[in-house]
Amino acid sequence: MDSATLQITRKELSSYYSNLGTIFRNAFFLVLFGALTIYQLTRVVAQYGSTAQVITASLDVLLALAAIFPVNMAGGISVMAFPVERDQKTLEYLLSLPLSNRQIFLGKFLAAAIAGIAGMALMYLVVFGFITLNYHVSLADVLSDEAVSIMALAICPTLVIMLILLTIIVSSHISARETYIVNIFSVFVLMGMNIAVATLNIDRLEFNAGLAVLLVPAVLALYVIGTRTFNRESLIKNL
Amino acid sequence: MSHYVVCRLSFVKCVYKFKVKELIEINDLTKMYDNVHGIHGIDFEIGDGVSLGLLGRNGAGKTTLVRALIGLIKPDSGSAVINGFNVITRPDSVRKVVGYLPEVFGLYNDMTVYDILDYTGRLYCMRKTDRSDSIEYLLDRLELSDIRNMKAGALSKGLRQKVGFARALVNDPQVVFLDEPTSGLDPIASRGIENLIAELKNDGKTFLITSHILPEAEKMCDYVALIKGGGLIASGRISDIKKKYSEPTVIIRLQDEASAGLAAKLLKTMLPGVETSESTVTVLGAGLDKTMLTVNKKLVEANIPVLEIHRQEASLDDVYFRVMEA
Repeated sequence: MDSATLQITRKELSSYYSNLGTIFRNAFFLVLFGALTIYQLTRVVAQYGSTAQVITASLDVLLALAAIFPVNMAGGISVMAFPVERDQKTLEYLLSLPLSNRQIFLGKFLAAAIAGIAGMALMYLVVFGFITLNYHVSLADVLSDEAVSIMALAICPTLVIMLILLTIIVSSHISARETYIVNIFSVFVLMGMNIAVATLNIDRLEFNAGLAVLLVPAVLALYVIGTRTFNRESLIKNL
Repeated sequence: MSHYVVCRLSFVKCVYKFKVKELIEINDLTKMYDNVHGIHGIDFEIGDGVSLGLLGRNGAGKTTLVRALIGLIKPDSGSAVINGFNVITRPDSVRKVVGYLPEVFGLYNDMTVYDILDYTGRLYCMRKTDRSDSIEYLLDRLELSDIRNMKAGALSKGLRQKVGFARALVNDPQVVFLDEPTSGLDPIASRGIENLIAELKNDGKTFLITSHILPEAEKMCDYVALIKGGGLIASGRISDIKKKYSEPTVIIRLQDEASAGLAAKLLKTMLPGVETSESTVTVLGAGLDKTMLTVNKKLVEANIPVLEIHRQEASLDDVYFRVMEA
């Protein structure tokens, strides 16, 4: 990783987190989606008991719901990638610097990815902390279920990264307001997946493993598309 | 403008001389937008330590030309070489040796003035000491030291313009592109920028400046290129352009309006372009010094007392309007 890329990442992250409004908004969404996930979990536990098996089965569905928080958080920073630069008229100067297209794209992507993964870790801390404290089911017990560990450690982070990539790619061509639509679309994708997992009568492990296998090339393809389609001229034309 | 570079090798005392090309060489540069010419057939060369003013009306193609030279847009044909790097094939190398102040630019409002300059230096991969030295010099030179810790969002338009100018110079560029550099600045700040440009030109930096304020362009630039409809219609040293496109005027100040009337009547019989205004007679297009002597002699012979007679050079404004309206 070169220095210029990391400088862009560092600047994006510090700009994002230096805003008090951003911190309050993220705290609000953390509480909202944390509470929603925990509420759903307590309902399942009340009905079927607090065994490790019940908890892991419900987590398989609920983690996708919890992932809406990091997607939302990363969405906020993804919007800063190009639409905010365009709105505050800093984009033309940035593009005039001796940075390759890959450096600019990667710098912006990394900032959003770090924010997204950090948000996800925070949400896991809330959910798994609640489970450990209330149901005396350890994290090791939860992750011993292969389907849940694939969901928690592979599908959710990959999905967050994929949606970030999608937001950044699209955001280089549209306005900040329109970019939020991509965020909302991302939330619908996660909710759709949540419903699909809950209603389809298929083996959880098979579904999760299949989805994880599909998501990896999708992320790679999006990264390649993002760096290849990044075009200074079209960005300048849209100023 | 030809330059020779002298290379000295430490282990053997010898001097090589070879001709180097101009710092900026543009040849038949063309860029189309949806079958409409943004710029077409642009040709010019600029050497070290000079400033060229790009003048033209809004939409003439000045910004398109600057963007093409920085590699922000790709020309359709022609070539442009800056410091030996082709802007079409090696835009990243070009961007390393240029500084840029866009016409419409923004600053990161949540960052301090120092942090903005420091971030720019970091993106140029400058070493910490070089970065710090450059920033301190610019803060001092542009009188920005007092506001170094202020957030950009709290700055006035003039101060933002100065910070934008400092940002364009952080990397100690060889070529600086300035799009309307004095826009929004008060006269003292404008003078400061003009002086800094003059000082940096002495250090060998080359400036390419677009401006709508012609008197300021005249002060800041050695050369001008007039652009109309995307094409270059005139270019060269300002004094040469003035000679070529506009002839000087002879101004004769007389005792009163009646004398001016008589003088005008007399001069009209021998010269074209004679005009009167109160007690002054103006002879337009009097390009030769001989004209002034002839005029003076005729008036003395006719007993018309002359208080003052002098030649007035055409301003860049005069040339601009004459060329643009042609």
